Parts: sequence; C-alpha cells; structure tokens
Amino acid sequence: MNGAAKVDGGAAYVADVRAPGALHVAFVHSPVAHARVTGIDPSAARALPGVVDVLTHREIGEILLGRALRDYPVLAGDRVLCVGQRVVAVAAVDPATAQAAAAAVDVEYEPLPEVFGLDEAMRADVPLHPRYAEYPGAVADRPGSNAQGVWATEEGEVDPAFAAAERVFDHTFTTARNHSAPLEPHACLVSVTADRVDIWATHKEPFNLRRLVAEVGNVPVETVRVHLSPVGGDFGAKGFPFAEIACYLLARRTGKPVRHTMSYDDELTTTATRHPARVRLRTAVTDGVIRALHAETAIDGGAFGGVKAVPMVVIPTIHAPYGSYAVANRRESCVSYYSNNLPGGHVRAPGEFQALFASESQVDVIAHELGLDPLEFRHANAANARIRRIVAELRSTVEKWRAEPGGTRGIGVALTFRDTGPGLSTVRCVVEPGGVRVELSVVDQGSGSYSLFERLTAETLGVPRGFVRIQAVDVGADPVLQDSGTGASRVTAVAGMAVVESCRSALAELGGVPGDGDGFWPARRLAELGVQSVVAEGTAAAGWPAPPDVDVRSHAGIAVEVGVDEESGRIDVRRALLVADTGRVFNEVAHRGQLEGGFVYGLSQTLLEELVVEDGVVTTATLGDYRIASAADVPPLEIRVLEPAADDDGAVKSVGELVNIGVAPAVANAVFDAIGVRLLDLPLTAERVLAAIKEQSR
Amino acid sequence: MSTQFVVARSLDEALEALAGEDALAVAGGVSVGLLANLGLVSAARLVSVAKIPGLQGVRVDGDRLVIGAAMTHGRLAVDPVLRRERAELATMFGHIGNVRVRAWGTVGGNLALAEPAQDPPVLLAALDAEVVIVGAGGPRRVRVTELSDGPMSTVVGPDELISEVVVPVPVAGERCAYRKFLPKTADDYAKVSAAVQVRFDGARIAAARVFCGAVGPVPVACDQAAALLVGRTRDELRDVDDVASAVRDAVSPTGDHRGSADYKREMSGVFVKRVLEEIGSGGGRS
Repeated sequence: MNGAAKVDGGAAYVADVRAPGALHVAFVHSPVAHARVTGIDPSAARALPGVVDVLTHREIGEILLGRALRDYPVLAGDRVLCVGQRVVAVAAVDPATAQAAAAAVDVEYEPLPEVFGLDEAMRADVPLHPRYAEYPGAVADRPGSNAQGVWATEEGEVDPAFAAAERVFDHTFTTARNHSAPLEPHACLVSVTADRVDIWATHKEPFNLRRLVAEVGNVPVETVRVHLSPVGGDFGAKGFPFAEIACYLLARRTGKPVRHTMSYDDELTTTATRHPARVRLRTAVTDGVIRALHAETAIDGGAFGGVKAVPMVVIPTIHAPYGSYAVANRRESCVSYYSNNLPGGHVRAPGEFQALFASESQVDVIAHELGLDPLEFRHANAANARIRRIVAELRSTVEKWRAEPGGTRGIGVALTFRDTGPGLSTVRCVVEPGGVRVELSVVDQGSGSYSLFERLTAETLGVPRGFVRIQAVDVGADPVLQDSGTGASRVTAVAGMAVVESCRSALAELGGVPGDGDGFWPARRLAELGVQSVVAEGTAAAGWPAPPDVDVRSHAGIAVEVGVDEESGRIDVRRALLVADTGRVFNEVAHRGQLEGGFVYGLSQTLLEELVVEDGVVTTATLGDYRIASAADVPPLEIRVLEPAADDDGAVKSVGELVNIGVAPAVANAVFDAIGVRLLDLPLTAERVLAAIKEQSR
Repeated sequence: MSTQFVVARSLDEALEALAGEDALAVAGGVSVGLLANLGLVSAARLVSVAKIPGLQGVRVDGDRLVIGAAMTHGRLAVDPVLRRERAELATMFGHIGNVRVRAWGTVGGNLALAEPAQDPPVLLAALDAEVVIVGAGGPRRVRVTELSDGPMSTVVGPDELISEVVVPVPVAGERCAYRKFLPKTADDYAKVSAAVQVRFDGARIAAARVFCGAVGPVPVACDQAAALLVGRTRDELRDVDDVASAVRDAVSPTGDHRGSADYKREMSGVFVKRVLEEIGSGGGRS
C-alpha cells in the first residue's frame, strides 16, 4: 500500500471493504464495574425488525482470549469485571438497528464489591479472578491472589553494593492511563462458508488471529484466511481481537457476512489503555558512580490481563530504568494487579515510557544532589562511547541555548534507548521480465513499511523503484509466507531484512551482480538463462534480549527548553532537540516521520493526555475531552541524526518507540531547572504543576 | 429513522420549515453534527439557515454593529468592518477552536448552543450585546446575558431563530479585552475565560463590566469585581488583588476532568487580572 492511495482515499481500510448483505454487530457493554449477571433477556431485541441474531454466553459458552494469559472472555459469563465489558452481541441488517437492539436487551446486574486503584488492587483479599490458576498462560508463582503476573530479575551483587553505598536515592514516580488513540478505530468483517473463513480485521498480528479463529471454530487453520488491509495507526492498540471472535461466531450462525466498526467513544472506553504505574527506584551511588539499582514497578492491570503480550503478564519495564548507563547490579520487578478498571494493554513503548520517566528524572535528582551538572553525570555513567557521543551533542546545544537571552526558562535533557522486538518473517522475491515482485504477509500499519520494502528491493537488485511491486498476500493464501506481526519496533529489522535476504538469494541465481539502475537487466538475464522467472525466499529473525556483547540498540538524547507560568502552572515547551543514533537510515522521510511523531506522541502524553476513570467509568470518552496534541501544540524540533558509529556494521535498528519515552523526563527536568520544583507524577498538567509549586513554597 | 434536510433560502422559508414537528435549525452544523454523532440530538427535519442572505454580513447601523447570525467565525475574524469597529471581537473569533471549526461554525449557532465554555458569549456579554430572535410572533431583542438560562439551554423557542447579533459600537474612553486559559491543546475549550470592558472618563474608570466563562452554567457576571474597578486609574490596574478576590467569590465552577473547581476558581482571578493588566498597559483598544 503506497502513500498516495492513503492521501487520495484510494486505500481500502477494513471499514471500506464492500460486503453486500453483511450484518452489522453492536455490543451490549456493562454499565457497572463489578457485578453478578443475574439475567439476560434479549426477547425485546430479538423482536425488533431487522435483528437477525443475539449472542450471549449461553450460546457460546466460555471462550477466553489473551495474548499471553487467557482470561478475557469474548462475552461476559456470570460476572462482569469492568464498565464497558462486552456482555451481548447483536447482529442486525444495519448499524442503527443493531444499536437499537443492543439498547433493548435487558441485563440484570447484582452489584459486587469493586476494586479501584493500585492500592486497593494490591490489598484486595478477595481475588477478582478466583479461577486464575486454571487460565492458560497463568503465572505459576505470583505475589498474592489478586496479581495478574510478575517479572522479577536480579543481576550482579545488589545487596553488597547498597551496603557499601555512599548515598542511596529513593524516589517514587507515578504515571497516568493513556490511550493509544489510533486514527482508525477497530473494525472487522468476517465471512464463513462451508469450507472457508475469510476475515478482514484491523489486526497487526494476522497469523495469531488466524490460529485463534481456527481454534475457536474448531476448523483446520488452512481454511482460515486473513485478508491484509492497511491498518490506520496502531500504537499498540491493534493486537487484540476485541470484536473479531464474536463477529466470527455470528457469521457462522447466520451464514451471512458480519461486520463491526467501533465508534470512537467505544474505542476510548472499551478497549485497553497504557498501564498507570507506580515506579519506585532505589539507586546506590558512590564516588559519583551509579553502583546498583533496585527498581520496583506496580501497575493497575485492570479487569483482564489478556491484552498484554508479555508472557509474565506485565509490561516490559525490566532493564529499562537506567538502561543507558553502566549499572551491573540490578534487582528489578514488575507486578500487575487486577482491578475493576478497564484493562491495561499496549501503548507505544508499553513499559519503557513509565520506567524512563522515573529513571531519567532520578538521574537528574542525583546529579543536583551531588552538585554535578546533569549532563556531566550522565556522561560519567554512560554505558558506552555511543551514548557519550549523544551526551556531547546535547551539551553543545544546551550551552548555546543557555547563552541566549530568554527570560525565565529551564532546560532539561533525557537519554533513551530501544531494543528491536523479537520476531520472524519469511517473504518471497519473484523476478520476472516485467519487474520484481516481493510477496509478503506483513501488515502495513501506517509507518511507511511498504515503501521501505520497495526501496530495499530496488537497492539490493539495482533496479529502479518503478520496477518493484510489493504485494501483500493474504494470510493463509500462501503457506510459506510468515510474519510475527508488526509492533515492538521490529518491522524494518525483521521483515525488511527478510526482503533483503530474498532479493539476495534471487540475485545469486541471476549471477550475483546487481544492476546499475537499469530496470531491464533482470529481463535480459532471465533470457540469457533461458528461464521465465527466478523465485527465492528469504527469512530473517530477531531475538530478545539482544546478545550482550554488541550494542544493537538505538540510542537518543532529548533536550527541551520550557517556560513555566508560575501563576497557573502551565508549562510552555519552547523548543526541542533530538539527537538520534539509529544506525543505517533506509528512508529519510519515514525515519524523520517516526522520530518527529515519537516526539509529539511523547509530548502529548507528558503534558496533556490522561484517560480519566472515575469509579470505573471513563469520563474522557470523546476526543473532545481526551485531548491529543496537534500541530499547533508542537514546538520547533531540531532533529540531528548521527552517522552510524564505526562498529555499527550496517545493523538495522528500531526507531518507532525510541523517542516518545524520553520526552516526559526531559520536560520534568526542564521544569526543575526553571523553577526548582521536582515533578514526580504524569501527566504534567498545569493544575498539578501549580500544586507542586505551592507545596514547595509551603 | 431518516432525516429530511431543508435548505432555506429566506428567513420566512426557514421559519415555516421550523414550524413543523421535531425540526432543528442548523447553520454550520459543527455542534449539531457532533451531538448527533453522540446520539444526543436527533430531528426529523434539519433546516439549514447557512444560505439565507439576510443572515450574512456585518454592518454599522448608527451606534450599533449588526452581525448576521450565520456569519462563520472564520469570516468574522477577517471581516474588515468588524476589525475596524471591534477588533477584540474579530480577534476572539479568530481563536475559536481550530480552522475547521472556524470554517463552518457560526456566531448564531454558537450562541444558540449555549455551551458554557464557548468564547463568544463571554465577550459579547461584556460588550452588552443583544441578539435578535425571529419567529412567528415577529422579532424580539434579548440581551446576550439573558439569552441562556443554563448550560445548553436558551430562551430561543423551537420554532424561532437568532437572526442578528447587535453590538454597541465603542464609545470614547472604552477599553475591552478577552483572554482564555488553554493549558491543554490550542484548540481546546477554554478552561477559564475572562472578558472585561471598562469606560474611562478622563483618567478614571467610570463604568466596568467583568464576565468569566466556563466557571458557571452561563457566563458569570462579576458585578462586585466590576464595582471595585470604578474610580481607578490605568496605573491602578496593576494592583487588583481585591478585584481578583471578588471574581473568585462570584464564579461557581464545577470540577471535572479539565480541572478541579478550586483550580478553575483561582484561574478566574488570575485571568481577570491579566486582562486588566492588558488594559492597563494600553491594550484592549477601543
């Protein structure tokens, strides 16, 4: 899918796929946070003209979903655990009838004690999921019967390092619930015939969706096909089948295509959110050197853990705090707890955002307490020369900014890094007289990946881009093509390298010498070889964590200048610098787009975004209330992309989740620099900043 | 349910179409569209008033400035007559929402919506503007301060229309300014807004009007604060803690996800103070 089609409206997103005669699905969502479901009476809904089918747990039994832990029911059984939980699915001839029918279903709820907020969730003595141990993917050893999961690690000699420390710094930071807020809401279309299932879905892991449907339907996986439509933004939201399975079951029961397109209201209130976190960091420092870290993260996992992809049913905070520094002695844990809030899920860098706000803020606190310049302290503790290079770049700009007149202002910095997520991809390169075609089953989720594949193919074979076509092959149409799905900043490093591998293999068969830009050389070569075409497959994989001896990470540094209105608490971010060391740049425009987009995304979640939940009810239920930064809210941003370091060896690195995680600590550090007030809680809303200013002057 | 969409070419046509059951007037459709998407309004008949010539334009009529109710915010922001006669109004219209809202939203639609965090009602209240409401019973004039009787509610009847907004042209010695607090996005609703109009008689303020938005069900008249301004000189607008205090006493904000009631109350005082500083330093031209 190319960019032009997205601009001119030609791109067919899932909601655009035509399906004459398709039924439309609406859901009955729970209005209460925790209750026993004592009765469901769908008779009034069934009686409405145009209503074709009504689905409850009585018809489908218990079907549990989950990317790691399977605790998320397709439709609620005898209990609802959060507001917005899907209880009944109605299929009707048009969306309005489906909505009216859903409103006509009579569900009786008998209230149960509710658990809101992290403290209550940690203390809850009656577990919200008493059958936890029976769930597939349950974590064997967890801290308490209301925990969703735990990830704990220890490296080096932590206790001796703390015992010998000159100073121990102990701070607790909190972060808010954000929404991933993709432009396109979730949508799906399912068609079931006697021997085949066809699915169109806003789902970035179509292979997983295919396996799931085959399992739920008890049909051979070969009979299930997932059609690849472009995904209109993901940011973590598009990895969980919120509506797909109910639509599949309705399609099978009714024999008609069934579709659902989520309203944005439902998007904000019934999907999943960034996990609000409490991060406590205890950091041992001796002689200006960080000797040991004890990091404890607790998160409100909400009603279900199934939206999280990490096998330990937490978010990836381990190894994130102080990840840019040489800290060998580390004790880290992350624990998620059940509550009656809407479930937590993945939002762009799902755990690193929280962890880095804490650690890059604390680095600043420590530097100030020790009387050191924050950049100097970072330089002295940096993990390697690559990071020291970034610190030096930041310093030159920060010194320049400080020399300029500018009234009351503050400057703050932060360092970030990013590993490439694990994954595997197999693609096929087909060289024919008319051009080169690369067949793959990789979802285009809007990051420009298909343009990148096109460019990689053209470069590897030495043909103009106009002779290259990237062809999305529906999942299931070709058993050889594989992909782990998009996400975790892995597309370039995994699918992109698979494209290069397939092209290299094809090139080897064509004699091993790429062309010099002549698009017809492959045709001539094929004629010389006396063959119609050359077909070659390529596979690439990335593991996680990366091997310890090479730094295959991306690194970045952020500097921001802020002014603070001390009467209102409003932070005015005036300008910013981003220094990025991301290895080889394949597509400058897409690369810059990811870096800029990451900055804006991070700035928005730093200053503005909070999905407010009161007694389980989302009160910021529209984009008019859940405010997101737009172009008018973004300061001038200078981006400095560093040449790949000498030892990079052409390594392919990730950029998608590198930048957004560093904006919050840079801004908080700048506020401290401006007015001497330390902010420990996100987002940094004006009211919260004013309260901190008053607290300090008390 | 289907909705009939009637494009009225004249006021009479519009009023006739509105007289039927379950009809709703729509100008730019910004709020009607949003509310319909949320399922909060519906109508069997939508009557578009956007194409009625009589609801367009800005003209001076004696000591009154007459603004057509279907003028969009964007056109008002650049209207030469308005810019010349009431620059503060044009500037306010130029900062409503975002460019998409300004391209479609109209001043009449805005006043008819009566959303408490909107900009125009606050400044128009400070300017003591009126609206002309037309209906079967003929036209009547209502002060902007008396137009809304609560959030999303006005005295305009279901078969009536706002046709004009009438604003006094500035008198000698008048100063007026408006500010809104946007701690979130640039296109957000105001968390708090403040409009002040004063009339200097010589060096001293002879009359004042102070209104705050988004801190009550309708624009809040801060009469006590206004009384405290009378008799002051321009220099004395730098020390207005007593005025700010009176503003805080007058407003009645409710806490929500945009901020606590206490915070909004405090910001009302801060923003009235800032408007007065602007006037004191020579801003808020007349």
